Amino acid sequence: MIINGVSAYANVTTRVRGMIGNLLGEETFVRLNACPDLSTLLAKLSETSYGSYLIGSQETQKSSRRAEYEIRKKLTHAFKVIISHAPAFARPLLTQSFKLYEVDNLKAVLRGIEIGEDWDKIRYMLFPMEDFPTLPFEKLVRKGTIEGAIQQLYNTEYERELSIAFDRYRQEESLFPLEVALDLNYWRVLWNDIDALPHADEKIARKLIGMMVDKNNLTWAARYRIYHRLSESEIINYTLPFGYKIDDAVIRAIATDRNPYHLVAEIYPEIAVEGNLEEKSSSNRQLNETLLTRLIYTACHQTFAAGTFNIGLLLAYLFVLEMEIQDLTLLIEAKALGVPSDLYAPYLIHKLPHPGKN
Amino acid sequence: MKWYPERMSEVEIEIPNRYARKVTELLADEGFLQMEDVSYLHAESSDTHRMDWQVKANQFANLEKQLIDTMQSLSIKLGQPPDAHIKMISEPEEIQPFADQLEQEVQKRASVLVETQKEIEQRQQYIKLLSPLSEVDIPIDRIRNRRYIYSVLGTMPAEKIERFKTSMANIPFALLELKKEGDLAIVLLLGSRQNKDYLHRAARSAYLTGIDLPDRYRGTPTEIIAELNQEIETFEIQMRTNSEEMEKIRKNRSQRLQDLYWHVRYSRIMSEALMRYGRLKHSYLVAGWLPSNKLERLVTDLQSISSEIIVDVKDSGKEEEGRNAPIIIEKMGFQQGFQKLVTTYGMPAYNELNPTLLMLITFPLIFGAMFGDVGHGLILVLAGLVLMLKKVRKLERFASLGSVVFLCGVAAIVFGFLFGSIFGLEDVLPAVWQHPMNNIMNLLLITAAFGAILLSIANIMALINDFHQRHWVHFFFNSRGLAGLLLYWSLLGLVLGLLVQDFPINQRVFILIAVISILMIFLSGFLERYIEKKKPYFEGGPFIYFIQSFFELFETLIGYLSNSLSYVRIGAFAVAHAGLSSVFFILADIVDPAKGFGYWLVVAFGNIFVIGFEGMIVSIQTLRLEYYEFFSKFFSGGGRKYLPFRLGKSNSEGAK
Repeated sequence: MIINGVSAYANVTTRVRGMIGNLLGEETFVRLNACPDLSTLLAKLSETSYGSYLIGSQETQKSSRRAEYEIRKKLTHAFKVIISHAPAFARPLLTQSFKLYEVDNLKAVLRGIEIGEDWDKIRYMLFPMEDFPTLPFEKLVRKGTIEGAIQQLYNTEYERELSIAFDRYRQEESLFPLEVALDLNYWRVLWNDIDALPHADEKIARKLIGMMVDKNNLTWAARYRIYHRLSESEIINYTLPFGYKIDDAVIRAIATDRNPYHLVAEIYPEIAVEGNLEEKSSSNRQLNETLLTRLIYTACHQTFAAGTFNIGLLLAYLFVLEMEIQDLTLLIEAKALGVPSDLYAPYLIHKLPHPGKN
Repeated sequence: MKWYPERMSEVEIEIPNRYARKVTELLADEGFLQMEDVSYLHAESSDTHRMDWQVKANQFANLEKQLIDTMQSLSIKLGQPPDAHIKMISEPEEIQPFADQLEQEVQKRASVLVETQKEIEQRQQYIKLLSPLSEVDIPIDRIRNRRYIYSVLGTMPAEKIERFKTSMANIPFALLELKKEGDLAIVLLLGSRQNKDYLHRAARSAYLTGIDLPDRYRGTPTEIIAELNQEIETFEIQMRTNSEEMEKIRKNRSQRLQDLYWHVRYSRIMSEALMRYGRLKHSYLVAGWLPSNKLERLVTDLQSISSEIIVDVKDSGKEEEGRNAPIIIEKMGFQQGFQKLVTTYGMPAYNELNPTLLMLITFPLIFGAMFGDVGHGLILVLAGLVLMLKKVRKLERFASLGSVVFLCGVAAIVFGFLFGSIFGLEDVLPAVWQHPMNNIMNLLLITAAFGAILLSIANIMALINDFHQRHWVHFFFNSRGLAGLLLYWSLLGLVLGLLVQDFPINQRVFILIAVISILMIFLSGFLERYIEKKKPYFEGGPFIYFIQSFFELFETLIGYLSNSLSYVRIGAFAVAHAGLSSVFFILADIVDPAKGFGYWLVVAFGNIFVIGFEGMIVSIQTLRLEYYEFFSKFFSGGGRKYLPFRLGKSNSEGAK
């Protein structure tokens, strides 16, 4: 099996190892964080592996949104390279992983339609799908109504979920049921795709994707409880019945107003290192997504270090690259708005060294 | 089919006010005047006259749309324009009440039909949901509206059932899965009324869509289903009655509606035409183009209306006429497919040769040489006939290309005999001329010579165009004129002198002609400006002129060389055709050396592949040789199609 894994993953692993070398290091993040404004930040970023995405477009200099759009293309290209070089049995899972961005785009488009935005405003908010086959987003926007957009999705994989949830959208005039249906369906399909992997792949994929599901379940449950005031049964129905370590008991506990930080710390003790949990839960009742993401970031780096030939390295790289882009997006937004570093730094997944250390 | 487009005349017609409508009717009936924008006539077209006709045109357009909608609701086709002379309706108000009344009558019934259909579908949905409960002998209202029990009957995604049950761990409930239909399950949720809100929210979050059965339905599921079926029957009777009434209206009004539609359409077109007329103090102005042979008839017809109508035939000079006159493209049966190929490249200009006839000869010739095979040609001939005879409905729109396919097939058969090839078999038919594979170099040289002939013809065509347009500098000095042709021939002579021993003409003669031709081409720009008295004679200065002329000359020489060599592909494809066919025979031998079923299956597949795939490539190559090597030498296109003002679906509507 190990030999099989080596031969199947040798090519793609070599490529991904090279791509890992292109990830931004701590020093680069420190330099980027020190930039006084957006243009300096973009100039500095252009000197990194993101340069080819930023230099080509004049628009990136004018708008932070456009710059964010361009740097996301790096993730699209990474998916393309990895999917095309991955062994055939791993491709369905990787392709489904990429569908997350299509689902996000679809949700963004539905929100855009709901508030009557036109295509020109929506297009750069979307994830760049490049030459991946995707939905006709412009056509959906031009339909002008949610009903029209859903009709346009006839015969796509989203038709069933959306048509079931559409009755509720009509009654409640809220996109919430549509978005939840899309999210739950995406993760359910992804989780089922893991079944088709060989054992070694399945184990690591369950861990990494399971941690993502855990993060989602926890943040969703906390959000549903705090902001939507949903009942226990609703929270259960709107979360996923699988994951890595988080089970229904934890979701139920959150639903009954237990402190989410304490609950998570029992399962992931590493989170306790991140500061005083009591203080966190009183100052920020919404579970801090960044803390949970950092757990995944650490797990991904452990996978890099493991040196095994399986799907873990590919998923870990893609997850870390996404986190890197999330952080860069945050930096770009912050610099564009002139937000001081100490206000946004806690939300960066890459921890910046304490100012005293510099 | 003519070499040059039909001669056109430009006219201006001055019509006294009182005859305007009558003249417009005449022009529409005759249908041969292409109206032009009259603003250059300095007519006073901004007065209320234009507004009045614009209002009328809009009213007629609305009325036309209203009638189309009504006819569509009644499934009445628009039909053809009536044979009898159509009169323009004076005022739209004359028929508006009739159109309104009929529209109301039809729309009322149509909306009743739609509503009734919806009612039926809703009841069918109720029945679908209740059917699984049909064996439950308890009145549904006893389940639904119980004092202590809360229930929801409906559908939910099957995969959410387990999750829903988990979510209800702390609440007493029962979820009965009555039936599964695809991914959906029909379920009955029962719980304490005390927990109604909780149950409702839980059911909603599991995407359980409840059946919204109105309270009036009481009794057991079977009784309700019977009641629903009865209601459906009643609705169906209603639908039938309404449909019959609609059918009655359709029968009674069909003819009248069609007539009315064409009158309104005609009136709209007329109003739009009148709206664009120029306006003088006491008269209207119309300008346009018509075939010269129709001029006399137009004048006579107009004079028969009134001798006060003045027709002025404009003589704008040959050059301006060439620029502005529209081109009549006739529907020419067999040649239509080739005409289409020409107009895809460009609409012939008024004063240049229409290359359709040439294409009719050269296209099949080039195709046949590249695709020479009696069997394959025969299949193309049959395919062409199928297209031309319009026997297959789905292929009707390609009918005009039938003649192209047919002639290409005929040419392929002829070359098939010359090459001795039938369905890829090279040893069945004796080659009248030679097998392409046997003497490849000979074939390539002959096709190069054929290319030289075609290029010379193209050059002669360019000369004829220049002569026709009296463009003398171009005729004598241009690289596509006489100088170009002489240069090309002298270069060919030089090459032949090198290849053929004892060539009868001295090489010095060719060198002399080439030098003179080069000088003529070199000076063509200067001469053109000199004759037209355009200063400076050397555009951009003498130095720039000489540099530019040098590179243009260089380009011309390279062009002649590459264009000539381009035709070598004809020979190359003839060889490839034979080679590709033989590959399939080798493959067939490998698959089934005993020449059994497998052998012939591979041969059949190979032939299909050659006809489909290679046929397509050869067509593209032929088109490429026609367009880029041949047409580009003498055909510029840029003409505009003749669209006369007339009442009809395929023609222009109103003055453009």
